[in-house]
Amino acid sequence: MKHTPPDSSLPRPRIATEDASVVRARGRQRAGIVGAVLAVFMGGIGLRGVQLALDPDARVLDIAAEKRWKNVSTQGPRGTVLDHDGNVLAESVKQPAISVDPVAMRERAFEAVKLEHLKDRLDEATLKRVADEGARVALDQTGKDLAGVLVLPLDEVLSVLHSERRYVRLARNVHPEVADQIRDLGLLDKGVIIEENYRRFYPQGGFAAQLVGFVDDNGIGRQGLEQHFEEELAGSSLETVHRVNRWGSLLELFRRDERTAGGHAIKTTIDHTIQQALERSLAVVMEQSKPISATAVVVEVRTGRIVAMATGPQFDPNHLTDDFTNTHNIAVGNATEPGSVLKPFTMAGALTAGVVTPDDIIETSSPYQMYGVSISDDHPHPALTVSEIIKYSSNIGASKIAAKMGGEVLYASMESFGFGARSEIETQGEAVGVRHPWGKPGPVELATVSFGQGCTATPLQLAMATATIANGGVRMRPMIIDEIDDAFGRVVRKSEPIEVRRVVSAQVAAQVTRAMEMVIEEGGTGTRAAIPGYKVAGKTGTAQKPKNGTYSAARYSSFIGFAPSNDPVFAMAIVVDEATVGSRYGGVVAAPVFAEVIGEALRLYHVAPDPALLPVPKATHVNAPALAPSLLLVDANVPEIPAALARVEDEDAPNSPVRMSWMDGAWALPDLNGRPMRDVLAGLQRSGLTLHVEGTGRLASMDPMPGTWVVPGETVQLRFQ
Amino acid sequence: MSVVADRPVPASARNKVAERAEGSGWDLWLLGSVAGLISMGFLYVLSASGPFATHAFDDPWFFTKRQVAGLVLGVLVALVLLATPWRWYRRAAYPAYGITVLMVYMVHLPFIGHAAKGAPRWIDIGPFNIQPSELAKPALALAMANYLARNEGHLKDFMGVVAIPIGLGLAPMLLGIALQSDLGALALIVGIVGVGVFVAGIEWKWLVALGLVIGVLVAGLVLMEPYRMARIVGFLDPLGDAQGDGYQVVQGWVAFAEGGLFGKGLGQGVAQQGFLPEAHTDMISAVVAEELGVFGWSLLIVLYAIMLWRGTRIAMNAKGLFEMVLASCLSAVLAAQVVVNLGVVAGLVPPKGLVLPFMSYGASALISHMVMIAILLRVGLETRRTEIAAEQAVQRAPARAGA
Repeated sequence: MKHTPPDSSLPRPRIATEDASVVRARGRQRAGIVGAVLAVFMGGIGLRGVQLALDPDARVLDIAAEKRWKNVSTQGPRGTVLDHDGNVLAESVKQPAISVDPVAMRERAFEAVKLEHLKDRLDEATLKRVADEGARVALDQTGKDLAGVLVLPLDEVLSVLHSERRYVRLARNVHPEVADQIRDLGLLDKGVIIEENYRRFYPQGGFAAQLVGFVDDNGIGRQGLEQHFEEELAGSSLETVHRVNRWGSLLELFRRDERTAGGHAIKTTIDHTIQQALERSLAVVMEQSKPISATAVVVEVRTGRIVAMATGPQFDPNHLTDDFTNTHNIAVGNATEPGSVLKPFTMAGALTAGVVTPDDIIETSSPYQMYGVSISDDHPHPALTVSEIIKYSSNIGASKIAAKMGGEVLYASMESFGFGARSEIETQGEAVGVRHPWGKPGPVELATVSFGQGCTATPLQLAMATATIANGGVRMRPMIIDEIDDAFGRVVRKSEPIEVRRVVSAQVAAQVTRAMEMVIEEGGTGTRAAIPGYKVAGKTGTAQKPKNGTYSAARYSSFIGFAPSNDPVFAMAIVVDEATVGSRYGGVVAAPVFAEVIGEALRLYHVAPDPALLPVPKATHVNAPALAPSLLLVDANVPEIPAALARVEDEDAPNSPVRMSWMDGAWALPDLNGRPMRDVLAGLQRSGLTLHVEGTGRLASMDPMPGTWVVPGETVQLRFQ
Repeated sequence: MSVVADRPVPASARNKVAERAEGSGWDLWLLGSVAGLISMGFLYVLSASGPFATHAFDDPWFFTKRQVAGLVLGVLVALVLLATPWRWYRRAAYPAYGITVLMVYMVHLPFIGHAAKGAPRWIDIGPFNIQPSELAKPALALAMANYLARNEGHLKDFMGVVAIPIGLGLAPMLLGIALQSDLGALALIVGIVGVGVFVAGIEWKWLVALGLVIGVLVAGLVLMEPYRMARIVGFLDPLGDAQGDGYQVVQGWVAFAEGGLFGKGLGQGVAQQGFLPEAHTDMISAVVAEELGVFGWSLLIVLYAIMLWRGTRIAMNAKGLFEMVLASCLSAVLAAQVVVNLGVVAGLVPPKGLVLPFMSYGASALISHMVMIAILLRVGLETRRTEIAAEQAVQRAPARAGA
């Protein structure tokens, strides 16, 4: 075959020993052979690939499962604890913890040593030594960095890093900046772990601390509400398995959209202002009387809502020490001998049993003797009515009343008031209290129990029993939780007042109330509990405190009471354990706490004072202060109020009652703009103010301005639209 | 097909592009398969290098950007080659070979020489790292083809024509590559020479003798260095040392097993997350196997098979010995790289460090392989041109005879 003439630039080839056509035919054949051989190889490899993919060695599958997974536990934050006003009492703040996995860190340091360039030059043993040394140096550097950032002793950190442990937490609750520094130093690549932890923080410090409780190092509630509502408060935790790359970071590829919810928010019934007033008041007691502790509970009578519950001395849950003596919630957890504050309940039981009437006269001139035990009074009276027995706190009288009742009746009555039984309050560590001896009482026990010795009760039990009398004989369940919301703000539970049972009739309750009012009146033991402008009912107690099996000079000074006694709003119990300075009488030590706290609570809740008890206003006014409300209808277009009221009623059914602040004989005018006429008039009706009304509908303006202090008798212009 | 065959299709309805291409000598199968491989290569360099690039350089596109730059450069070089007069190829064959031999030694020079993983294999020129051993492959194929074509019909003189001249010409190149301890490249160069002399017509007895000599040499080299022996042992049972010498291969197998038949889907592979060494270079096909399954991986092999088929066909159809040897060497060296690379992945060949053409990251290799394809296409075009010239000559001859 002829082809193009050879390139002239190339040297002419020598004479060939083979013809070109032979060479090329063979070349063609051989090129085909080369292609075919390679194609066969390709096919073989293809088959091998199919085998690798579809029938893999079991060991390969094992390796596939290895080292590429990481369990990641994510935890939602613990729920908050709030008071009734929405102030945060406990919350969880994000604060990282720094931990290490020493074994993994060593492996990584080892892997990071670059040996490729030495592989050909050194033998196995030397290579190993070089690698070990390199890893050690790298690990020591990491240790130095860590010790520097976390301000820990270097030798401690190094001993951790060189240990065989798999998880060591080096620091908790570090500042977020420390975590950033660790990131910047590249320590994460070396196996240092930043755990996103939450730290429990109590923004109000010691405020209601014994009630709220605290959490342990693992963030688990260990006392109070924190423990009781552990399940609700704990954030949901999610253990997820992530694929990680070889550099240790989670693979975005496999990260699923997982959400961990925070725990539920627990809104307590604690009223911030009243609690604050109570804690302030107890602090004063602690200061003046130097007792071991002072505890009090304030209950809203109609609902059983605990508005305040406090114990002095306080502790700061943000700085827990090993000393847990002050962390105990005495209000629910300490049952002590209540002393004379139990007498009203003895009286209530006796009245209910029909063995006495309030005006029955009991002879109390001489000590009550039985089985060699003599019961006497500190201030003996020749004879007292049943009510006066309460007023003057006669042990002899109470014992005699109890004797009339008999043990079973008295105990049944006490149990009905909630003594010796759980109140079912929703917090941790409630004590039941004991009647002693358990079972059928002898006459001595019967007598002592009647005035509160030889049995025990918690401050909460006392407060609830007092509230029962105040509530006309109907016991409410103590309510400490107002609402529980989930992390998304949805209401999980809303507490409603629960009536437990009727303990005594309304008549008996009224009779006991009257007797308790006498305690506060002139000559009674509880005069220091009086609140100007309000009628108060109460009972003092000064109980002997047993020490080492016998009664000592130490006393529990206590007070129970409620106000206003004609239409009770709050009931309260105060127990002071071992006042050491000054008087130890309940009427001296505990009663003033009642007056301060309940006085403030009543003003705060705009509970109108009893006009008959109001002090005479200081201000002189053009018009003589008219205490009775005077209502002048200026606008003739409003024929009569009921029609106007009927109209607004439909528009605005749920509206909180108007409340006003009362101080030193003057009212602070509340901001009532926009409120319906009915509410405004109802709220101001008993204030003693002269009201000039103009228009109908909702309040458009008032003169003087809201916030102004006015004395009864002053004129307020109200314009409705 | 049968339906079409039943009804005669008018010529006008046939694929005119294909017809025109066939007529002009453009091998669309070859072009198509390479285009497919390059596209997949782009995708898989990105997928396989992304996680490491992010980890090491904080830029998932780090390697892909460089690969795309190599691709652009490769297309430019290929276009220049396609436009170069065919005569110049033979003229340039020796000088090109000479230059690459020099470059192979330049990797040891200070400042421009560049070593990675303990092997000095690169020349650093401005923004580029050139790997001379990659460029040596097409240059050597050209030089071999040129030499063998010049000695067409003389290969029976084994010593005078084959052994001594080729041995002498090859020695500096072999020595240079050996100094880079690049056994893979060394084997390929020996392979190119072997294919060249085989196609050019060496006698079988000499071929067998050469094979034996090379075999003994390889055995000697392996026994000399303990680490090479370890590699062989590791190759024979990678699972026996899955955390050591067998690690790379086993991780590749893990990728195959994880991928199964149809794979996890594009970008869903885990092997390249630091587990599979050389995921974006030598082991890239394992990444394909994990993401697209052995099905997708087999498609890859089909593309390479098409490339081999068309390359072999071009060699077989070539009119001159130069073209025949050249095309055969080029298509064989491309296919051999595929076989060796995939063989390593499949555990059938000891680890060699050879890239997978058009898929693995590496701009020098990409450009070198594109040059080879361009030359192959060019040989096809030359063959067609010769055929047309022959047809025209035949058409003219009867006319003259008739006159």
